Amino acid sequence: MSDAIHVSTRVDVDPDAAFRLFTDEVDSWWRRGPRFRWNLEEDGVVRFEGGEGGRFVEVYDEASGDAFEVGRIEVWDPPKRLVFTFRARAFAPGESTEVEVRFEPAGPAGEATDVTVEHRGWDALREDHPARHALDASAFADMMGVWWADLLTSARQHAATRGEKG
Amino acid sequence: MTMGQAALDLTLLALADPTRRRVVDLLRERPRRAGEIADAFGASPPAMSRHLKVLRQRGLVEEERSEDDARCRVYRLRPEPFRDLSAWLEEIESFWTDQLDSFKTHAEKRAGGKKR
Repeated sequence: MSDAIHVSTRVDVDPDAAFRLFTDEVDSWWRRGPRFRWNLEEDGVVRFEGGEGGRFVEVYDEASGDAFEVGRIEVWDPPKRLVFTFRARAFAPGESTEVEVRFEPAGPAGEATDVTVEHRGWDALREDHPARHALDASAFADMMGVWWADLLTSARQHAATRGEKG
Repeated sequence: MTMGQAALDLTLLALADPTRRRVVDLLRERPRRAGEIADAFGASPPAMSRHLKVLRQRGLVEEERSEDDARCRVYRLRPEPFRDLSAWLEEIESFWTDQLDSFKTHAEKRAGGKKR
């Protein structure tokens, strides 16, 4: 899909370790605070529960089960690929986007890993979502398909040439 | 992650049309007269005038009288809606950039500690 945001980094561990650390130790590296987590007042514990079909959650209280379900694991394919649905705090119930994480061997002997995050599915947001307003699904998908990549650079360049960062 | 406001809706909506996106690209170079814009697309002045009206109403462009010729109108981009759009995209992108930086630091520290 083309309505996606891509971000990648090279990590100096092999794909097996990268996948395991990404998932098993997600709470250790997932940044804290309301910008990154889902509760305004307190951070909980973030974790991937099990493999495919499992939850991706932030748990606030183990005893009561108080948690925010960020999404569900759709693909669990170590050490290559992880796909899960992803909801921001402001999303309405049932509204979701999708995140795919790919782990690709890198470096001369595959001792490093290129980790790429693709965040997509913005066109699946509800009809009245601020991001899509009155566009119907096909118009929105078309717009994103044609222009998403350009949009990223052009909007940014424009903000920059005006000397005022967005 | 928070997204969008009414202004952003209008920006996205105005930019859903390919001709209007090309007008915006053209105006990124420099302000232009209405006639120049119509010429660049081989569009009829009334058709182009409708597109410019949408862009103006949605706040993406503004018009002013030419200094040389008061009968002539010049269109230029307004920076505000582009900053909103840019900010929205950058917010999502920087969210993941920060996350991956943090993951890299964590993974390499853990691996180093175990002398892998």
